[in-house]
Amino acid sequence: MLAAEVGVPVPEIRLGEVEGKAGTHAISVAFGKESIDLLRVRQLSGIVPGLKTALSKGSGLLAFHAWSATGDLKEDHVLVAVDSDTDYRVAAIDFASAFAWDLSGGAMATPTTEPKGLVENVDKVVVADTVGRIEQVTDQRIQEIAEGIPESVLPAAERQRVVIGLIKRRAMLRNYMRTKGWIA
Amino acid sequence: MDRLNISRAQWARVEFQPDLKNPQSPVRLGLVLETTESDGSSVVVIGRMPIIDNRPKEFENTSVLTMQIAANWVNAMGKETIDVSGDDLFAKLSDGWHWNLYIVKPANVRVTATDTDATALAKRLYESFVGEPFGSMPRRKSSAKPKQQTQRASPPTTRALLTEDVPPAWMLKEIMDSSHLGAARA
Repeated sequence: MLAAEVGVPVPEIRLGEVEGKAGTHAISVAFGKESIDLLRVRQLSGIVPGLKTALSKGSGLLAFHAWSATGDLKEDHVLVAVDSDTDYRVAAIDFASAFAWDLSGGAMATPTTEPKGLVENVDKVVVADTVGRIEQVTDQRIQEIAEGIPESVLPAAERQRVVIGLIKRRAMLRNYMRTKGWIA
Repeated sequence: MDRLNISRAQWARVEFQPDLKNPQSPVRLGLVLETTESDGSSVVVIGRMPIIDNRPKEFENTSVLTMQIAANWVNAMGKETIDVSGDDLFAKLSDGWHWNLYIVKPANVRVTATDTDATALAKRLYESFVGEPFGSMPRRKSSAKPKQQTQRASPPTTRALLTEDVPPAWMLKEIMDSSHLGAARA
């Protein structure tokens, strides 16, 4: 929901129960008719022009990863939807490592060199637009989004920690993107 | 007959879903079998693969990129089974194979007296899952074309076979890739 709010490609996640398993599970909705992780695509065909364009369009994900402090960044976690032999879309998956800051909001430390395909194809305009959209998300809206997550998944104390971190990190994001050279 | 003592066997089905957004009946491709025997463990990857330039109808609307995966999955998956410890095998494979071409949650195999080795067992499971015996496809004679064989640099105990069958009905080639991983994995 946070990703949709700032317009970055992350497949929709639905919370629900899995037959035969206890607890609430996050189920990712299929991203494309055909989906392949970027690492396998790179091994198979390299970065073809259509995919390069899709990676540039998706490079706003770098700002989102920085904001959410996603740590486990790699090309296995970039999903390529193959709409036709020349049309591709990319999205980020697996945010299990994200939001793991303390009440200080933590330091801006990622992304650095991964996911390689996004880092190598940064479109500074796309990244700047994404940073702008993140900066426009109000404190209240962040709180509302966090409150939309069930207590069983994100208990109140954790929710507050996440909200505080998102607010603090939002203020540090533009400068981090500048130091990385991903916005002008 | 030199009969192996298979003490444990697990298998995972391999399927292809042509459209993740609007799922259809998956195409049954083959399986991965892991057996534990008295002298070690074996992994067999066995299945059929569509031929890119002569596609079966199930793959008519599949992109070239995904076809490249489907047309080589046995070799690719076989390579990924090398040097993986027993309990991690299926977890590792499912990490990398969970999109259009995926492995299904593994299940235990009830070994029978007729299963003389892992390869025979894999073929029996293949037949029950895919619905036709492995190697039953009509062969096309191709004297002009050199015989294909997959090769691996290591380990030396790993062997791979690639048939040249190009059946007109399914337009698939069958392939088996097996590795004997030695007592260290037992």
